Amino acid sequence: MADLKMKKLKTKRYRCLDCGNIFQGIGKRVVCPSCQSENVEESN
Amino acid sequence: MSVRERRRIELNPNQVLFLTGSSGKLGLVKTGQDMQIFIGTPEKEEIVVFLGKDDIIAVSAFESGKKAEKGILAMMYLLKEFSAPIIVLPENHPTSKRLKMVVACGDHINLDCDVQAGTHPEQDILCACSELSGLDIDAVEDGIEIEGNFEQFRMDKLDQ
Repeated sequence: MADLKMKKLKTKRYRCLDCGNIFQGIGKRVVCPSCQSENVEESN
Repeated sequence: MSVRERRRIELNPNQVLFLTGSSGKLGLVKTGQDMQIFIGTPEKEEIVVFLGKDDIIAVSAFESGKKAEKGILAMMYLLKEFSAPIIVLPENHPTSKRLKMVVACGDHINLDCDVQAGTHPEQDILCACSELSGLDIDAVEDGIEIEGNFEQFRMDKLDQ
């Protein structure tokens, strides 16, 4: 098996406005993985 | 010149589709609901993959037979019911050669026999045996579409 050049996933950084959790995610319906709140925003 | 087939297969969230090659087996399930898969990367980061109800989870085992099917079903159970995380190994990690199965998820998965198992976080590429390599799998409503040629496959209940 050959090595694959690692290419970065196009993730975004999010912050939960309810519990303050900061996380990296990718996908369609983003919720906070800690408290499951939909009240999240993209964070730099 | 060979012609690549494109097949649509109905698959509900309580079913698993097994594709079999001589040296490997692939299991495919639909998530059936919104869910999250956690990926731990070599950079000490966690990536959360948010999946929708029509997305698919694929588990590729590097052996075929009943034992591989049981392993695939166990991995599906860990991911769907336990939210167990996936770990990405650094390239050339000595444990790569011990891996018995690898996982991918999302709305599109490409099988490739030419990648080092367990080293890539991209969820659209999955290491598989040579006979299944090159297959393109798309999640569609109520099932999946597979482009490429494969012969041995069967459907089973997920809950066994």
